[in-house]
Amino acid sequence: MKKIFLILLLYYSHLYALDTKSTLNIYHEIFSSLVGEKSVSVYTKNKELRHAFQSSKKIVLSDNVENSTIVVVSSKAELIALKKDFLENNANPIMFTTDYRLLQESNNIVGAFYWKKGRSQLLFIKPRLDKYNIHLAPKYKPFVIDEL
Amino acid sequence: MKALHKVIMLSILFLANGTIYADGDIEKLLNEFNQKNDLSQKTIDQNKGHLLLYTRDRLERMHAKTLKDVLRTIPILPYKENRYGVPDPLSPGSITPYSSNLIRLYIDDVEITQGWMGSGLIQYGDINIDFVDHIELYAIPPSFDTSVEPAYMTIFIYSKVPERDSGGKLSLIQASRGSNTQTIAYGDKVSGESYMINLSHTKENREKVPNGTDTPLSRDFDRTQMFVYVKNENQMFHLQLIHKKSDTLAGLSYDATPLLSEMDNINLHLDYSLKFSEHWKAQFSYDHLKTDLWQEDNIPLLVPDGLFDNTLNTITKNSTYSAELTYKNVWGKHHIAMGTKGRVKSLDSLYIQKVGSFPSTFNKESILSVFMQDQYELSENELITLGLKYSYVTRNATYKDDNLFQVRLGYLYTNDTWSYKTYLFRTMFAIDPFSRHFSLIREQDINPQTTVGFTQELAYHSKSNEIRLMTFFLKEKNNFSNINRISDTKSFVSVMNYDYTLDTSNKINMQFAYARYFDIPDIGDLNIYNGYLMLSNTYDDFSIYNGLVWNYSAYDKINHFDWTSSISWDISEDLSLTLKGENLLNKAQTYNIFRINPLNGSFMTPLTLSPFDQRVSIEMEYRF
Repeated sequence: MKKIFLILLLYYSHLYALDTKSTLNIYHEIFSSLVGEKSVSVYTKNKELRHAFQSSKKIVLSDNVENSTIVVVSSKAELIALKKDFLENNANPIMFTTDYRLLQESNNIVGAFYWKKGRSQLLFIKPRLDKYNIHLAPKYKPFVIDEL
Repeated sequence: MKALHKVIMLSILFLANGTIYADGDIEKLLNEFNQKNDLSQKTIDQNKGHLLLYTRDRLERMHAKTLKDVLRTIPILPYKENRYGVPDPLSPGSITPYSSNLIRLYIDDVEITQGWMGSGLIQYGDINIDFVDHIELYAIPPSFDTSVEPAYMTIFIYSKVPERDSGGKLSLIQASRGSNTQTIAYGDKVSGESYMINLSHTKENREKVPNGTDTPLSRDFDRTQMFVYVKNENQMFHLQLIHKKSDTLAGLSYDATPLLSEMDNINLHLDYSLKFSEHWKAQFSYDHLKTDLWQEDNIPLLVPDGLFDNTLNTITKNSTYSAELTYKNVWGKHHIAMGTKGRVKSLDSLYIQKVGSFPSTFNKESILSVFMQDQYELSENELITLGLKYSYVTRNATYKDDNLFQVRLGYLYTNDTWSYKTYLFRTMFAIDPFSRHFSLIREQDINPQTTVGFTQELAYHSKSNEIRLMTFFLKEKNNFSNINRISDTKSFVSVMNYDYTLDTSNKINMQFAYARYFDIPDIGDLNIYNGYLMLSNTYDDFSIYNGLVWNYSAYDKINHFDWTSSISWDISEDLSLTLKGENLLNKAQTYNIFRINPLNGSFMTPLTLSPFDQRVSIEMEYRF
């Protein structure tokens, strides 16, 4: 049935919706590498990610920053609002982004999963991981750099 | 050829060793994510026809900078230019003004048309595609909800989205013979509104074409283009502007020895789309083309009745207004699409130096279409589709009107690894107004071309492999490219594709195509073969691409090889350098421009030239 739905895709559907299964597979891998736990509480305002995460048994969507282990930020406006939130709530979750430019702008973001030239890119910055005492498995070596 | 052989072997060696440099698990997940979330997965409509897909990843690997770089690889009808040096893949090289109106071009699902002049391919066939995310080419008439006018092949270009390409980009290219391109782009999403602006300028100094005189033919051009959009979930607005000043090769010279052959085009496109409910969508577009033409020869020019003697300087303005309303809904197992589309093509003015404003009695062509399409779910894996479309084409002056009726019946099957589709169709095309009115052979009352076709496609795909076989049988009555138009033309086309993805860094793409045209006057049966082999490898910060396109026609009995090679170095995440060579063997496909002896009207030896220059370029790309 799923296959036929793909053929019949109505053009009024949301153009940028993420494929749930492949999105969850990669984010489960990323999040479990960051926190080392099977289940993780995540805060994000990204609509497409929230939609995909709703189907996950390992990712628990959080409605506020202070109760989340990981925050995924996707825009500059979100980043500014989050900084204010962190100060007010004395929160210190692990920050991750879907935009390379935000990784450049904020030293608090440990890594990014973003698009470049039609291919997804995964990147972690070692000194920022160290701040959170995060030690990634050796298989992540190709995706970890010392500085931008 | 030895160098090419070494490069291919080296690429395969990289491919074989690809896994050494990447972690299997994460690579697999990234590859799966890339495939399932490529933007093309959101826009592909399998029922539009038989798809040739150029994803963003593939365009980047090919280092494709213009639409010409993509069209040079399509099966059987690869990129070609006509005697005026403009993109015209269906051109027979004769004196016809333009032959590729059966190929239609869309950007973000809105057709770009030159109205009076025909398909948007004239202006957009070799445009800079820096603003493009991916390109879908569909063979056979598309599903009727997409097209206003009938088409054989439709090119759907989809622009980048700021969700994946936010921020700015600057690209500088310096190439052979002093050619150069500068592009700057910026896009972002603010409070649900996405916008992008892309500006580019190209100065292209092409290879000259010897014509036996001291002044070889020139096809240099200088083009500035702008692409802008603003969109949200329900509305979309585009503004596109192209200014192209070009040398027009042989132009209107009978024997291809013009004293002056130049053209200046300014093309404006505006469109607005609105989804005002889950089911209804409206779309409006406006296209305007202003053409200044300068032609001079020492003998009368190729214009009707030799009216304008040895020199011709014209300014032509034409506008096209298009509107459509479509409705889609699901009733049980029926997925229904229906709607109406209209288009008015107007020749606004024609000014001829020495004569002044030239009143043309035929200056308006209007098309009104209604269509209905049902896609019926036969089972969980099967679909039957039936489409009907009627178009009424009306022309002013004494030119006759046309009634075009199209029908398309299809069956689609798909499971996790196999898919099959087949179509039976009948379609009718009307010749473009410009050819109808200004062609040397005066075709005011030419009947529509009617094509009946039967097509099939069988595909197998796994995580790493995709194999596809397509076959087309076509029968055409009153084929526009057949000069005498007495007999029907028949053709058979078969295309096989194989794509192999080792991992995110290493890929192979192959294609082989065969076409047989039956009973061509003075030739008989004609066989055409072509194909390509593309190898792309990434190693650390370096990306290497090698593409070899092969063409063989029983007409000239020559094997043509078009080798493109590039190496890109990502100096940092924001900065990259690329060295690219095109037509490196200088054996790319050629085409003929026919020449007529003005003294006795006999055919002279045609000029043979390639649309692909031998060219080396270096590009710097900076993201900010």
